[in-house]
Amino acid sequence: MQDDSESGSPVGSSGVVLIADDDEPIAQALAYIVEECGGLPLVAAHGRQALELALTYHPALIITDLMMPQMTGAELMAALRADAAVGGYRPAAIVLMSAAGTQYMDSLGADAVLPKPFDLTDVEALIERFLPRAQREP
Amino acid sequence: MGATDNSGDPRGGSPAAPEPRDLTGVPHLDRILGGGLPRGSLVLVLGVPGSGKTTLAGQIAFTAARAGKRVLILTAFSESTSKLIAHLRAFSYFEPSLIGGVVQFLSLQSSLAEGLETAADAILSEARRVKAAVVVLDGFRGLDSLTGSARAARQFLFTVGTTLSALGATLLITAETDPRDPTFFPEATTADVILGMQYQLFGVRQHRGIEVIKARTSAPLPGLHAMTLSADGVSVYPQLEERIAADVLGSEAQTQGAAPGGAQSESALDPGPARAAFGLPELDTMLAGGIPRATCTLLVGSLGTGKTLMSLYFALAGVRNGEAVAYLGFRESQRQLRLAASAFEIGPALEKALRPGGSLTFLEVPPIKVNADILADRLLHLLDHTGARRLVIDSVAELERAILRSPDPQRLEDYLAALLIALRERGVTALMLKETDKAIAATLDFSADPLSVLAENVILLQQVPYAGELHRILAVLKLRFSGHDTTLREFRITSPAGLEVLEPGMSEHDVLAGITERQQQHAGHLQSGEEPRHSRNRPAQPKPSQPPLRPGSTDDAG
Repeated sequence: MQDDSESGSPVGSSGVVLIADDDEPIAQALAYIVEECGGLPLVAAHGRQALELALTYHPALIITDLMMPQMTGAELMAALRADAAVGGYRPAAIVLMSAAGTQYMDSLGADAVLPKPFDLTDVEALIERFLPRAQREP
Repeated sequence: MGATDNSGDPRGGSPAAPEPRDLTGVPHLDRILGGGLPRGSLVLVLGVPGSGKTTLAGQIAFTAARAGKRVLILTAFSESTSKLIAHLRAFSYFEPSLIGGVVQFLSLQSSLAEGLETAADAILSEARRVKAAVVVLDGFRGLDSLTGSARAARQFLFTVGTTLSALGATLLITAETDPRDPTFFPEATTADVILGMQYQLFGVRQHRGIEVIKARTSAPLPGLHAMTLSADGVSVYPQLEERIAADVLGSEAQTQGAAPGGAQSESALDPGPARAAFGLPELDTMLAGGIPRATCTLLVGSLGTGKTLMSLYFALAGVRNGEAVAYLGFRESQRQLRLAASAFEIGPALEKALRPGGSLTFLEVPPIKVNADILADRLLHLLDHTGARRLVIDSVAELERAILRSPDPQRLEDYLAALLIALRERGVTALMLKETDKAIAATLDFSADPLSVLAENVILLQQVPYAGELHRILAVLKLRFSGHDTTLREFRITSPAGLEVLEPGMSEHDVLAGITERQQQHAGHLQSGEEPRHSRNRPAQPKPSQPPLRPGSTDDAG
């Protein structure tokens, strides 16, 4: 993994992709795709765990489910953006996924939405878009 | 309200205070539950795979969400939340805009992996977080295999059920099991309501049913009720006899107002004219003006005698009289019926009555896989909706066949009796057509069956060969509450005039006398031989002043 900005912005520097979903098989499937694309996946089973992992590891991209125990994807997004605003850094790109209607998802202000069920190519395209090639493992 | 429910009212009201109930939104489910689900109750929905448990739970959840209540839907082991959402999305009750807002879907997989205690904590904490009024736990199957202990599962249900109840939340748990599996019951004792969903094959036919196995503090309709799964979700069709029995008891218990289900008390009915005429002058004279109102008449006869045509006269006489009329047709489509009538003078009147806004409503039911309870529900709904007070069923044999081919053919008499009560309660004068076995018989041939005993009136039509010709013969076998003309009559069907019942003098002079003579010999033969019941037959000369002719073995209790 490329590690060329240890002292700069905490975000966008690591190639780490945080995946948050209470459906474990879906989280594992996403982790597999991220690995295939050269990213480093981190998996959280609920929103609060995802927040802790995000604040610790500063992922370049967060793919989070909307409806999760303890903290929803929307609440997670709001908490991370608030932290970035206070810390003066650019927040990680957030992809919100759900089987809920896309109209509602669009209204939440994520960088992208991923309707469930999703295709492998949709996920690959999102990783391509949000995770710079330089940060990926060959 | 969990297992403490029977020790008083934990919500602070007096024990006599009515328990708050929430309607499920599932057609007729509230009825078989005895009035919806008690708020804060623990509801177990049990059934084999494919029986509709998840569909039902989702329907109840979305009904609550549409009413503004917060709903939490949890998946256990059976499927992921996205698969569950994809499953529910197929139904019309699903509302995408509610997802993520008042309806939250969460997976319990990770907490269940840590044991039932952790799972119970997770459920309660999430229910509090989203302020859920309804919690659905879908796919309970894995829980007992997880613990290997019914006691642990029971403890889990008790803890979650009682705590949610204290929060005022209703908990629905779907579990994959045979609803009548006694080994599951130790776990189920803590439930307030248990719904069993059946899904069985009889031959190649699929039968879906739903049963309220347990309903604490309410009076459910007992037994297995028909159920369908469609794009609208689950619909329940109560067993007609249970429904009518409850209505009758209900209206006896109530001292005022209409009985449940649209049935009205007799006093509330508009009696209208005392008789429902056919508009066939000679027949109406025989019937002393027509069929007594709010009774059932069995119009029985061999194939091709003109039963359907006669029933159209009955229907159109109602239309002319300004009445709404319903026609339940199994045998002919509306198009076939109009085509058949077009050969006769009544054709234009039928066309007019069947037009949109006309007063004749035709309910066309192909005689394929008829479910008698579903049909009864449709029929009663139609009568209530149109206010029809005349009804034709062509042929009631299809309804009987539906019962006789159902898993419980023993229901036939109760079903028919309930149907007749339901019609009578609505003030409906019903004409039910039915075929006899023989197309042509040398004598008038009629065997009593349950409906001929239950129906107040019986009219027999038959083609009888005499002197090298077929003659259409009519006899009023029974007319309860009323005297009637008991002579045999000949009737004709000609185009375009239609159906005409002849006065006795209009028949060829020896036809009726000859047939009566033959009937007498036939009865005498039977009397001396195999069927002693026929000793009641008293053949008569075809004159109005003579005693009644009673062909066959009618059981005339009138």
